Amino acid sequence: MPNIRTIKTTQEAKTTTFSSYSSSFPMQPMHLSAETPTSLKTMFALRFLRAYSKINRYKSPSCLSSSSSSSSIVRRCKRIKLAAYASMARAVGPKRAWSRALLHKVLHRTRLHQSVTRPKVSGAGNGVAGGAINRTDKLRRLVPGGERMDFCSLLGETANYIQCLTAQVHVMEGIADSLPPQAWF
Amino acid sequence: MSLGNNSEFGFGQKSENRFNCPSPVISSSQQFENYSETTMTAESLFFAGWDSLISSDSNHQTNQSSYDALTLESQRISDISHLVQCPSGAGFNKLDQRLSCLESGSYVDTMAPLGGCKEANHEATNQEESLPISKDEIPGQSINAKKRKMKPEGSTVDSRSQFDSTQGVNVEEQKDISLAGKEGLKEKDDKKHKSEQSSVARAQKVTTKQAKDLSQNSDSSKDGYIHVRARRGQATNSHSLAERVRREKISERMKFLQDLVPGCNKITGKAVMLDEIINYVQSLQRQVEFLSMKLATVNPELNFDIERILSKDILHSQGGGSSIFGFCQGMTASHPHLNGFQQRTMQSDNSIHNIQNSANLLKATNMQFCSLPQVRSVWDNELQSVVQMGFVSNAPPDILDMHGQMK
Repeated sequence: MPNIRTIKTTQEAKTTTFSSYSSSFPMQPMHLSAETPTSLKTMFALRFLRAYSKINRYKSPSCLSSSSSSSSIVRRCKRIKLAAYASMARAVGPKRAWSRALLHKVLHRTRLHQSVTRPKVSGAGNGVAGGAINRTDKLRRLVPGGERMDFCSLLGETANYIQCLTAQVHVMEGIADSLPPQAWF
Repeated sequence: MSLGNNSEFGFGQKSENRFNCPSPVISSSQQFENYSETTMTAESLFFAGWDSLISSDSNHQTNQSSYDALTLESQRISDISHLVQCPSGAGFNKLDQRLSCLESGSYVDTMAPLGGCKEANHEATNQEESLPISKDEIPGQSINAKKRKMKPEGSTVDSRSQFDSTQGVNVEEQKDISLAGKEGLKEKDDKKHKSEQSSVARAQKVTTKQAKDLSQNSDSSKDGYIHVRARRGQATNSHSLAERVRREKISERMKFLQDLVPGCNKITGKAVMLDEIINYVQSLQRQVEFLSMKLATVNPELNFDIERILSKDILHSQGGGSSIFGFCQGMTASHPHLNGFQQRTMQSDNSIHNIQNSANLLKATNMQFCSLPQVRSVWDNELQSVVQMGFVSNAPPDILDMHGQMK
């Protein structure tokens, strides 16, 4: 059983390398950028799984001994998260402002979490002052690229972002559930 | 004429105030005032025209001119008043020919000679030169006015005689007028209608300007009305219109977000809504983080099939059927077909009309799936759900586009 699987994975390796490159470079035409949530799910799942397998293959030869160490796991976690966000942004395409901003952040290695974790810090201080302005500021920091949006477009982008995040979470949950039990440590 | 009177009405009050000022002709001015009050309100409007024209002149002159205007008006009422017009000055003769068209009644023609105001001013200066004469005349005029008041028809001879003594040329004209009858009266009307002309012309100017402004305003408002319609009682200002559109947009997107975020249906406040949205986004991001952590802990040595998991994902999202596949070995062999199928589904998203074709292609290409009827039904359901979701997700952008067009 494992022998067959390894053979098949080597077969896949070529396709995955190509697809991972294609995911890192926007080779796919625009009309394939998914608009509907379900096709967005499939798109995201395809890209993310390819990136995920690539991450696994990349890690497997070098970190055979230290794969179980916590630092490597944290690094892998970051990589997987970046891959997830990047694949989602790729799946959405450049139509949306948040996907553009997210992709820019991912590609330029700016801290993706800066926008995510900062509201926790600033939210405590600004929450006392209260008001919709601070809430909108919070939302701006949460939605990638929301700093330069007006409130109206921010709401639209937030709606789309929530849709995509929900799809992302769904797909990742499915992937995590579908993994065989021997895959876990 | 009526329009001009209306527009000049405010100046009439000014002129009355002016008459109250101390001047050698107070009595006459008062009489004029009385006359204007008694005869016609429109005459006060002519006062105004003269006042505005000859603001630099003395009150006496203004009184004279206004008196002339009054006489002009009175000409229409009664022919006697024409005799009184004569003392106003010799400069009127020049203007007779130019302003002869005034009596024709076509105010459009009066519009053209706007230089009449300047001419009127020249007349006023000419009148300044003839100030002593006019002063001498004033009591006579006042008497005439009184006489006119008392008996408008019988005072013609008296006024004539007085004016004959004072002015030569005008007297001749007056005689001509008296002889010629209405035609001559009309000519002198024209003379003293110079003031009328100027005032009327200006009034017409004003009215035309107002009309133009009104038309422009209506045009601008029309421009606003084309895109956005304000209901009754709503402001039609462009800024308020744009603000209203923006608010409608925001409320619509808020409603859309309300549908997206669970547990947000019963919340009405905007701030609470924003809080909920923020919390939901944060929770989703944290979930992604957690899931990536969970996936990171997977043994990297273990290689797995993308397509199997992908199909599982889709089936998992479908809410069932994941147990059907289990470890289906044929799936991995058929992954190019799967890829083709997925691309086909994406294309079907773009062109919904090709649903049946893609479904048939799916059946034709994936022979492994054909062996399992349940699986095929699942895929068909997936396709249908794709199409449905395509409809649902395409609707809000259309609405947004409509709003953009409205904007």
